[in-house]
Amino acid sequence: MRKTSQWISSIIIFLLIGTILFLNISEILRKKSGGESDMIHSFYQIEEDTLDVLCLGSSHGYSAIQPNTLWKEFGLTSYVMCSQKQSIGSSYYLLKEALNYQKPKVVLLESYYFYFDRKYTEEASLRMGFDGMRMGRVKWEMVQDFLGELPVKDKLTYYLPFLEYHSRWDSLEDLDFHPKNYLKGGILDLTVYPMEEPELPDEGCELPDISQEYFEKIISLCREHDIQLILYAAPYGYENEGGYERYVNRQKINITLEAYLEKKDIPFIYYQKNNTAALDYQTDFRDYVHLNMNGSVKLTRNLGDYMKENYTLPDHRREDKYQSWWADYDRFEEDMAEAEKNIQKK
Amino acid sequence: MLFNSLEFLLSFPLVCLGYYVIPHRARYLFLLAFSYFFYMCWNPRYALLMFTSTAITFVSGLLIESANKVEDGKERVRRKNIYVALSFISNLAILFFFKYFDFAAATFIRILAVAGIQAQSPTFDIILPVGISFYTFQALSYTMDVYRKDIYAEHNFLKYALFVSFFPQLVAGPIERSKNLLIQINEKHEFDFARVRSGLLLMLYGYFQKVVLAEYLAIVVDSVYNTYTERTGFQLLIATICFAFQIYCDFGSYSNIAVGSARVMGFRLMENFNTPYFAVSVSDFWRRWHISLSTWFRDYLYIPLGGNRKGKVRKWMNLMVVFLVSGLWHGASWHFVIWGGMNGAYQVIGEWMRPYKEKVVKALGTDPAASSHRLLKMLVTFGLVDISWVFFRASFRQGLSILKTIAGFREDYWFTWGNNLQAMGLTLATRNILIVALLILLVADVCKYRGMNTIEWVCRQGIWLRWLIYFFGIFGIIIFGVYGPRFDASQFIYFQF
Repeated sequence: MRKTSQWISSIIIFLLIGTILFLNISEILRKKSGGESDMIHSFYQIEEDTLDVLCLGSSHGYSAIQPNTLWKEFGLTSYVMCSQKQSIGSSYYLLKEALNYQKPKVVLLESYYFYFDRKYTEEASLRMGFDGMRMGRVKWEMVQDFLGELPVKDKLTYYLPFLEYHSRWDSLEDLDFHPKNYLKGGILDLTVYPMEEPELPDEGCELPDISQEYFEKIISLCREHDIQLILYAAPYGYENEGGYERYVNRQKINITLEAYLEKKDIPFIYYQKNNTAALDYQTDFRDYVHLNMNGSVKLTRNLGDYMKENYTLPDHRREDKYQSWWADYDRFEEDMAEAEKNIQKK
Repeated sequence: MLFNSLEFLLSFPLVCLGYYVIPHRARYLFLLAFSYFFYMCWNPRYALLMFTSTAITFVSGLLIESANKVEDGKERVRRKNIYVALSFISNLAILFFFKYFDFAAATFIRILAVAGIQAQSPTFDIILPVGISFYTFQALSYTMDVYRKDIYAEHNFLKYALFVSFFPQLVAGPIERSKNLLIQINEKHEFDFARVRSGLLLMLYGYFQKVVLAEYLAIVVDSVYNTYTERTGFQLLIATICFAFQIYCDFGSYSNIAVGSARVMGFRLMENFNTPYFAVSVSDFWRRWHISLSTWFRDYLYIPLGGNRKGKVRKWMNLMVVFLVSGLWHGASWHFVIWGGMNGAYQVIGEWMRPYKEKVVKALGTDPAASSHRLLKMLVTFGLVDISWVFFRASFRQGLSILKTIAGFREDYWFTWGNNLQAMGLTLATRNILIVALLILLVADVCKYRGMNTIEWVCRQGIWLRWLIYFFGIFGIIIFGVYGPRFDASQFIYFQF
C-alpha cells in the first residue's frame, strides 16, 4: 500500500513541476505583442481594481497614448490595451476581459478600425491581441465568435499559443525574458517623419454594420459597468499619391462618426479636425500614420485635460497604494533618456 | 491516427486508463474497439479490408485445425495445403489489387509498347490502405503457424481480430507473430508502475527520434534531394548520409513508440531494430534492421524456398528472390526493387568474396577481431547500405545522377565554400540541435550495442538525475521538435508500404 501511495504522489508532484515549467517556457516562447511592452499580457500585472482609464484600439491607439504621462501629470492610472489592427470586435472582447480584473472609470477607444467590415483583420493581428489573454470564458467566446468554423485543432492553438510558437526558440531576444511592463502598453519611438498637414474630405460615408454591431456591445458593456466611453481619432496622413484615396476613405468614417456619436451623446475628439492637442505634422509623427513619442505626449496631455475637466477622476499621486506607478515612471524616464541619447548619436 | 498527432496523445492515456479499469474479461474487446477506431481514423472503409483479411485467416486456421484430424495422411496434407494456399492467395490478391495493380498495369503496358502494341490502362482510383502490407503479413503468419502446428488455432474470433488489429503495431510494425502476441491477449496484465514507466520512457525516446531527429534530418534531405541537379557533390553526400539516419530514426521511432505503448499496457512486442548501423556486413545489417520483417521473410519465404539447404547457388538465388520481393513489399515501384536487389546482391557477392577477403586479411596480418578492423567493416557496410538507400529515396535515374555527382563525375565543383548550411535548409541553431540530437542517438546506440539497457539505467538513478532526464526529454521534444498546426503532420516514412 505504501508503494502505491508513493508512486501516486510522485506522479502528482511530477505533473505539478511539469506544468509549472511548461507555463513558464510557453510564456517565454510566446511572440510578444507590440514589441516592447507586451501589451495585452502585462495588463494582468496590474493590481486588481486600481485602473482609472483603459485604452483600446489599433496601433494608432498605442502610438498615441502614454500611460506614464497620464500618471505623472494627472495622477491617473491607465493601461493601453491596444494591438495591431485591432478591429472593433476585438476591442469588445478585450474590454470584456479587462472588466474581469479592473473597474475603469473611463474607456478611450481609438476610432481608426471602425472602417473595417469584418470581425477581425487577420490571423497574425488577432494573435497579437489574444495570445497573451488568459485562458477563460472571454477567450472561449471570442474564439467561438470569430473562428467558429475552424477545426478544433486550430482553435486549440489560441488557447495554447505554445503550439504555434514552440519553434521560436532560435529567435528569442532579451524582451522575451524581460518585457517592459512599466510602459503599460505604450511604446517608445522617437523617430521623426515630417509631413504636410493633409486636408479633410467634405463628407462622410457609411459605417460598416459589423463595426456598429460590436460598438453597440461596447456601449452597453460600458453602461452596465458605469464607465464613461470616449472616442478619439488620432491624426494621420498618407505616404504618396497612391495612399491618398485610402486616407480620404478612412477620414470619411471619422466625419460620419462625429455626427453618429453626437446623436448617441458619446464624446468624440477628432484631432485631425480640431487640433486641440496642437500637434505639429513636421515633428510629431514616426511615420505617415503613427504619432511618435513627442506626438503621443501632446495627445495624452490633451486627453488628460479633457477627462479632468469633464469628469470627476481621482488623483492617486500621493496615495501609498500607488507608489509603484512612480517606480514605473522612473524606469520610463530612464528609457526615454537612453532613447534620446541614441537618437543624438545617430 | 498518427503517433505524433494530438489525437493519439490525448486518447492514449484514456485508453490505458480504461484498459486497467475495466475487468480483465472485457479488456480485449475494449482494445479491439479502440484499435478499429484508431485505424478508421484514416478511412473507415479500410477497416472492411482489414476485417476481410482477419476473417479469411481466422477461418483458414479453423479449417487447418479440422484437417489435422483427418486420419488419411495424404488427404490431410492435401486439405491443409489447399487451405493455406487459399488463405495466401486471397490475402495476397487483396494486397496486390490495392497496392500493386497500377504498378503492374503500367509495367505491362510498357512491355506491350516495346512489342509495338498500344494499350491504355484502366484507371482505378485506389488509395493505398494504410498499413495493409503490415497486417496482411501478420495475418498470413498466423495461417502458416497453425499449418506448421506452432500454435493452436484461435477459436475466439474477436481475440484473433485484436491480434491482427492491435493498434500499437497495426500500421507500421513490428510485424508480430501469433506465437508471441496472440497468447498475450489472454494474459492478465496488472498495473505495474516500473513497467509502465519503462514503456513511457521508450515512447519518449521514440518521440525524440521522430519529432526532433527524423524531422530535422528530413529538412536537409528534402531540401537537397528536391533540387538534386543544382547541388554540389558535398551537399548530396551529406544529405545521403542524413537520409540513412532519417529513415532509421523515422522507422525506429515508430517501432519504439509501438513497443513502448504496448509495454505500458503489459504487452511484450518483439524488438524491431538493434543498432543496425553497427553491423559489420550487409547480412548482419539485415539481422538488425526491421527484424520483424526480415525474420518473416526468413521463416515464410526463404526457408520454404529451400533456404541454404540446397547448395550455394540455390541459396544465393533464394537470397535474391527474398530481397527482390522485400523491395517490392516496400513499395510498388521499380526503384524499391532495385534497392532490394542491391541488398541481395551485396550479400551474395559478400559471401562469394569471403574466402578472398579472409586471405587478404590474413596476408596483411590483421587480427579480424581488432576493433579497428571492425570499425572499418562497419563503415564499409554503412557505405554500401547508404548507397542502396539512395534508390530507396529517389527514382533510378535520379539516384544514378546523385551518385555520379557524389562520386565527382560532374564537371562542376564538388565542394564550394559559402552558405552550405542555408542551402541545406538549416540555420546555425538548428544545425547545433541536430548535432546534439545525433550525439544522443549515438550514445544510446553505443550503450545498446554494448548490451546496456539505457532505460533500466535511467530508472536506477537517484530521483534528481532521473527527473532531470525526464524533464530534459519532454521539454527538449516539445521545444525543439518539429510539429504543430503549421507543420503538415508528416507521415512516418514506413506508412506507405
